[in-house]
Amino acid sequence: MGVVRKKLLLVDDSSVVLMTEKLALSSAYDLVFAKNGLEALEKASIERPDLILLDVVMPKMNGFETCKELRSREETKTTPIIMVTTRGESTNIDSGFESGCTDYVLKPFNNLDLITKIRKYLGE
Amino acid sequence: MEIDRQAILEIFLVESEEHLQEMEKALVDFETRPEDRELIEVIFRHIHTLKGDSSLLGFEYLMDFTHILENFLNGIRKQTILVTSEIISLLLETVDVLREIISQTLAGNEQIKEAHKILLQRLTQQMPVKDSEIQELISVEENQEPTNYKEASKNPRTIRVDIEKLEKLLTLTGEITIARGRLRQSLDDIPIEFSSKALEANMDIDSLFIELQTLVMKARMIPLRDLFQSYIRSLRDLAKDHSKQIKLIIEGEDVEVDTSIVQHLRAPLTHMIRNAVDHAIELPEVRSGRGKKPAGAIILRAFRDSGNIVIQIIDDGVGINKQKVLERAKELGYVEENEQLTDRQIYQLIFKSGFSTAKHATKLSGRGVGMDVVRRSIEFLRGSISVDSQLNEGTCFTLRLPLTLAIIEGFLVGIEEEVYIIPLDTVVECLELPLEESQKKDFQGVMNLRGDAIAYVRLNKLLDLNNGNHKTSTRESIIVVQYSGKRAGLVVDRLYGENQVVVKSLGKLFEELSIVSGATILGNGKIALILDIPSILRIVIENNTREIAIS
Repeated sequence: MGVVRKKLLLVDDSSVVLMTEKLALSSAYDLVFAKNGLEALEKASIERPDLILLDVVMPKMNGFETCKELRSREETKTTPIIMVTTRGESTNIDSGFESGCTDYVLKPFNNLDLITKIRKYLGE
Repeated sequence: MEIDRQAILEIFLVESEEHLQEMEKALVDFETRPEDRELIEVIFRHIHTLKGDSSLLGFEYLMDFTHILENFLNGIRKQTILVTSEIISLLLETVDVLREIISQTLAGNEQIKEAHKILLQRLTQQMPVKDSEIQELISVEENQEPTNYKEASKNPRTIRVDIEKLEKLLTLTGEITIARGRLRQSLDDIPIEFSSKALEANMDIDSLFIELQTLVMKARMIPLRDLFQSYIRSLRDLAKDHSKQIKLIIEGEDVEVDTSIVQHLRAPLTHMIRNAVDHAIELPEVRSGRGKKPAGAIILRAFRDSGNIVIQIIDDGVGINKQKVLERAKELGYVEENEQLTDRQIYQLIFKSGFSTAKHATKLSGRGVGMDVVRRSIEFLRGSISVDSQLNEGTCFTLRLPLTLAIIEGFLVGIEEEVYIIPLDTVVECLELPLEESQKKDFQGVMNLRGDAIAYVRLNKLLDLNNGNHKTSTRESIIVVQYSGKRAGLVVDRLYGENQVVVKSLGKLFEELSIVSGATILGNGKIALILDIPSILRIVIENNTREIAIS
């Protein structure tokens, strides 16, 4: 039996970002995608991901609201949530932590930084 | 990695255009509903995403540009910049520039143009606080009013396919149709006791193939959404140029049509919408004087109706002045002095060639600028156009189009030694040409069809096929065809029955040959021409009216 692959939920309204993340991560992890906050909540409760990458500015429900909501739910109370925020917008980082995220990465990210951060929270 | 980047760039190309289109739509809405704060949030999000994407892809110029724009939009969000019509125009111009920058950038040409700089200057001039509030860019308001503005939902279970691949798929299914015809014919030539198993297998292949062909056709279908939505912006700009207030209402944008039809539909639709703005919808003060709302409306509607697509362009403008149309038609000799016409016949006159020039159209009917060109483009798509109108209440143009141009149900007929195809949907009935008419051998005539007079034409003469080998002994058949209310008989030598045929274009060389609309390859490998029934009907009916007038 091989090692069970960990599952990540990637949330972003941009397919360009999702595709970039997918290319960096699909060889190591199972991936689930959502294109807005509401879809993220739905996917999180069905798929039970081991970690969530969360964009900030999205339609329907933004990243902060989504994060707060995820934290209020039993099944995602302790799931690592990494906010993906645009460089040069430091208020986002503060608001992110306030809403309960675990850490953040800055867009544009490089693949290595992204993977390092993910592995850290997955205990790999 | 190169392949990966290429894949991401392709996504970016499509998605960035979607952002810009959605932005245009939201901007036009925002102009009329500035109180709907969710609209500015939508506009902001599109630009923010575009900025994030360009940063990820390393498109610095685009990133800087969207950054400034984001700043500007933030001013509108915070209401430090007041939304006026000028601001909306400025932002729409910015969308155009973004489109240009994106295509330049993707072509590997990231250069700053003077025009872009000027636009950025105009943007920054409108900003009360210069660039100092970058930190607050993304602050998200807590208590957003829920609104009914719907974002176009994106279906993740789709992939994007190059149109050329689809064309190739279709061509291949076409080739298979032809090969199948040949196979079928060879099988028929074998005595049944030897061919029964092969025939059975062939029947299975038939049903599988038809399923495949249906799927290929479906893959070519795209919703009318992009086409329809592109008019939101152009209509807004046009209306502004004419100092008019016009709302565009779109219905049925999810209706799907073959991609080639969508391509060919753009020009005639644009023409009709321009006409509506230019001539039909009145100035606000004129409308108020007539007891109408100052803002006019144009409805762009699509729906499916028994295997056809129907598109309607409806306005609530001046309507068509029947009297003036009639006067003009008489001037042009289309209508006799004392001729009595129904309303429908009168309206249909505006599609006559040379019916009106722009000058006349504005003064007279308020319609008709090149409507004959519109009619021809719709007929080229094997569709029809009709119009209904009510003076001072408005006009409704109805286009009826086939779902696809690639395959038709054809009726095969023999004329002299050749096989020709008549589109089945135009065929009303087939009968033997009455003996007295058959003996005349005239180019054309009029026969009695159950009490109605019906004009007919001999196709061998119309097609100039008379090579002297014509067997006089055979009784000719007549096929009654009908198209957009007009009806005539076509005299042929033999009837072969119906068959599905793949339409091949004849190319530029045959463009002038108006009575033929395309060609197909028959089961036996021979080429058959597809007859253009609308053109033939026009010839027959015009010739006939002339003859009646002379006699």
